[in-house]
Order: sequence, then C-alpha cells, then structure tokens
Amino acid sequence: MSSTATSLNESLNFQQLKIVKDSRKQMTFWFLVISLLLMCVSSLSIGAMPISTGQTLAILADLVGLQLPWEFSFSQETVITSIRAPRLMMALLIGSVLAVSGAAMQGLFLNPLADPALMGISSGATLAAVAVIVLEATILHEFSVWMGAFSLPISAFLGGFLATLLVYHFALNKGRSDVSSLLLAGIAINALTGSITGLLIYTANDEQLRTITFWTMGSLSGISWSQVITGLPFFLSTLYFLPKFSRALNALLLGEAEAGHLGFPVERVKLLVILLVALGVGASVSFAGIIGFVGLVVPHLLRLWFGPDHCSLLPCSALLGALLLLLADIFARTLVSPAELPIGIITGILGGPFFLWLLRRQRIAGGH
Amino acid sequence: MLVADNLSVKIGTKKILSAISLQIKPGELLAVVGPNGAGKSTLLKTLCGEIEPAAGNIQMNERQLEEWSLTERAVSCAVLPQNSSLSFPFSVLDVVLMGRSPHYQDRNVEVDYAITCQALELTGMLAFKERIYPSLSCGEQQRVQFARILAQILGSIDSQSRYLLLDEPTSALDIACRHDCLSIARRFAKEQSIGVLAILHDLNLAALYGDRVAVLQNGHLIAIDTPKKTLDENFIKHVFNYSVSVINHPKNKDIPLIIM
Repeated sequence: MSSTATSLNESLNFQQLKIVKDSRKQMTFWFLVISLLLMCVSSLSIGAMPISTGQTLAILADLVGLQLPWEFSFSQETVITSIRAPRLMMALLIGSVLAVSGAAMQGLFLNPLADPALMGISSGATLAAVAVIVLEATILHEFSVWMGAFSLPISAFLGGFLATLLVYHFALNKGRSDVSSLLLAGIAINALTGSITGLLIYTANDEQLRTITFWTMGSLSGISWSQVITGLPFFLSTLYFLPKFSRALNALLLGEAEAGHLGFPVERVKLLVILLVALGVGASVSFAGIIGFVGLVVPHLLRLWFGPDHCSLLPCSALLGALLLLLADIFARTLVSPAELPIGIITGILGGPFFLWLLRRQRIAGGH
Repeated sequence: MLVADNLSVKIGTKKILSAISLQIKPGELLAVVGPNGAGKSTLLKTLCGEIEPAAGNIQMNERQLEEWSLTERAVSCAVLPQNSSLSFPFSVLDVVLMGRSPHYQDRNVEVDYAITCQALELTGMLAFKERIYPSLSCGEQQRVQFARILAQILGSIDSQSRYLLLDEPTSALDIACRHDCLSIARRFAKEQSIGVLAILHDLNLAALYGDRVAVLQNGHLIAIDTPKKTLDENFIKHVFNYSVSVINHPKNKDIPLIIM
C-alpha cells in the first residue's frame, strides 16, 4: 500500500518537474521568437541607406494595406522590398536550416561535434563550385552558358548531394550502415574531393582564385527574390520534416540497436535524416557558399541550456540559428560599409572564440 | 510463448548458431550460460529480431516474428543491452521515459510518468531521477537501463504475453545489486507472467534465479533443463573445461552451489 502511495506522490512530483522543465523550454522558444521578430525589423532598417525603424514598420504595413504615421520615400521602399527583404529571408532560412541540420547530425552521429560537413556536403559542393569557376571557359562552357547565373548554385547543390550519397553508399553493408563507417567514409570522401579541388585550384588563374576564395568564405550579398523562391522548397522540407524525427533521434542517442528495440525503423530514419540535411544544407551552400559554426554552436548552446531532448532542441535551434545568422549578416553589411565582409568570416570570428569559451566553461564545471 | 525453432545463424560464412530450438514461457526465467564465444549474445539478438536467422523461424505469441510491426514488437519484448554508451546529458528520468516511446500512440503522459516512476522505484533509482545519466557509475547506469526496459513493457493495455531479454544484466553490478536485479526480473516473471531470458556468466546466479538453464557451446544448445539437472560437476567440466565442485545450496537443496 505504502509503496503505491509513494509512487503516486512521486509521479505528482514528476509532473511538476516536467512542467518546470517545459516552461523553461517554452520561455526559450517564445524569447527566441520575439527576439527574431525584433532582429528582422532592425535588420531591415540598418544599412547604407538610412531608414528609421518607424519607416520600416510603415513600409511593411503598407505592403498589407495599412497606414502608419511615418513618411517614407519610394526609394526607401524599393531598397527594403527588393534588396533587404530577400536577403533577410535567405539569412533566416539558411541560418535555421544550418542549425537544425547540425543538431540532427550531432544526434545521428552521437557526437556533439558533428556537423553536415562530415557527410561530405560542403566539400562536394566546393568541388563542384570550383570546377564550374575554373572550367567555365573550357570543358564546362556549354553547361555554364545553358545554366547562366544558376550554373554555380546548381552545380554546388548537386556536388554536395552526390558526395553525401556516395558517403552513405560506401558506409552501407548489407543494407545497414553503422555510424562509424559513415564517419570513415565521410572522411575518405572529404579527402578525395579536397584533393581534386586542390588540383583544380592549382590550375586556376588569379581572377578565378579570387572568385573561389570569396565563394568559400560565404556571402549573402546580391540575393534576389527569385533565388529565395527557388530555394524555398528545399529549405522548407528540411525545416518541416527534420523535427518529425525528434523522438527517433532521442532514441538513437541510446545506440542504434536500442533504438531498434524501442520500435524505431533505424535504417529508414538515418537515410531520411541524411537526405533532408543534404537537401537543406546543399541548397544553402549553393546560394551562400560555406558558412561555418552556426550548425555547431547553436545546438551546443541550447543543449547546455535545456538538455539534449530533440523535441525542443530542433525547433529552438532553427530560431536561434536564424537569429545568429541575421546578426552576423548585419555585422557583415555594416562593419566595413559601404563595402561588405563575407558572412562566413563573421560567423567564424564570432563562433570560434565563443565555442572555445563554452568548452572551457564546461571543463571547469566538470559537466558533459 | 517465445519459440525458436531450428534456428541457425551465419555471420559471413561462419556458423554462429546451429539448429537451436527453445521456448521461453511466460512466467519463467530462462538463464543462458556458456563459455565466451558460444553464441549467447547472437541468440539473444536473433530472438529479438536484430539479426536475421539463416534458417529456422521464431514465433512470438503464436505469430511469426517478421509479421510483427516494430512498434508492436517493442511493446511486447524489451532488450537490455550489454553496455549502453549514452554520452549526451539526459536526466535519468528522460532516459527511462524513452522506454515509453513505443507507447507514444496512446499519448497518455500521466500513465507514462506513473509507469516510469514505478520502474525507477523497482530498480531503486528513484532518488536519482534528476541526476545526469553520464555522471552515474557503471552499475547505476545499468540499473537505469533496466528501469528503462521495465517501463517499456509495463502497463501494456492488451494482455499479451511479454518478454524481457537481458544480455549480462549483472556484469557491472556489485553483489547486492546483482541479486536485486535478478530478483526483480524473477518477481516480474512470476507476478506479471513475463518471460525472461537472461545471459549470465555467474553459474551460481543462474542456479539461484533460473527456472531453467540453457547451456550453449560452440553455437549448439547442449542442454536445457532445471539448474539441478544441468549444472553438475562433470557437465561443467565438459563445457567450460574447468573443474569445479558442486554441492547442494545450504538453504535449498534443489539448488546447486558451484564452488570454483
């Protein structure tokens, strides 16, 4: 009798504990949503052409047919709707996709330091992009004429996607892929594509070298609405479907066999997660080049804050990733205005030291 | 009943298990013993569907194992792994709650929490519920994993027979925890009519807690019977290539006591 009573009591305590934990997660979620909205408005106002926050709000309200008491000029409206807004959208999409993908890969590889680059996405995309830049005038001439402005993003996307499929294919053994062979296959493919990229760079001329360097540093400059719309299906499918695997990813942290015993179709989960990450990150690399550290730092930070549960980690990662990339983009646009820094440099400069600090703090706290 | 019929398993070209037939009855604890490399873990992995047999078939509750969906299987059959390397900072509560994953369709959070806490209480880990899993000792981690698989099969709505497959559940535990773990398993077997298969290295534990003992050698099942009949001096010498003395347990003469 008494044992039933204690367990009932304890389960009540559990409920309270659960509520406390959930309220922390919920507060984080709403805090991120609100910060993101504020950051969006300031990102639209900040830039070479001065536009006040009020004017920005008035322009946004005007789009949906509302009148606000701030006057604005036609050129201000054009700057916001056709230059800053698509760039903002792209930063939001790419930031959230990179962070969610990072979180999912870390779960899949049972390694808090994993990121999509492990699966060869970045190196494959780089190889394809460098090939297009270097061989544009010769072997790939017809391809680049045919594709026009899209030849670089499309080939980068295909390169990243193919490299990922290759990694997965080589890790497969009788229809199963264990995580360590995925990791090893990833390293091998990364080394291979890296060498071929090096070979191409070796043959490049000065102008091509400059283009390659800028591409690998990542940039959101000159993003247009047509690019945003082209990328939208890829980004949205990653953002929508990845969180559906939250519970499976939680179980996978116990080990692959254990997740199987808990009733999750482990092979299917792994394949789909890898495909979704390749889709989203491939698209982001193709539009903005390589942007590091977002996928690594964001999930790590949130895990420290409310634990590794993917059910809240994935949505919050998306929000924080978008927020961070937006912030980095504001720095990229304003620090050396009217010129512009590559955004990959900003995320590296912000992310690197921050990550080291985090690592050190954890060591001192003796946590995991 | 969990029935293996004429089961053979090959890994590559190497035959790991040859023509094994056995039954795990609801309400009994079947201890599996045998020298290293005899195929004990392979047998367990085959029984739960992790490894596909090269020949033979497995039936759970009169239905072929392949016909069960993964979730259905998980509700009726839980597996305790040999070691679990969870390095992410989940709390003990979170880990045990994961055992409720296959019941997610029911979406009854209150029941999930009540069962989780019952499982934690049974394994004596209730006081650890807010601790971070990777910070626990090996033995504590093993008890949390045990709580997790108890939570997995406890409180199933349909009254189907359920099974626990334990791969060396006592390897990292001290003497008291070993006995706790196995007496919980045995009590469970009796009270809730659950079939338990436990791979054990300690022959005395097998004798004390096993209703029957299965002995594997080189992938063959060479004996399956009560502890009294299977664990005798000559047989142990033959299987393990090591001489022991066997006497009757001072408290129960039906239980053999093996002296190394």
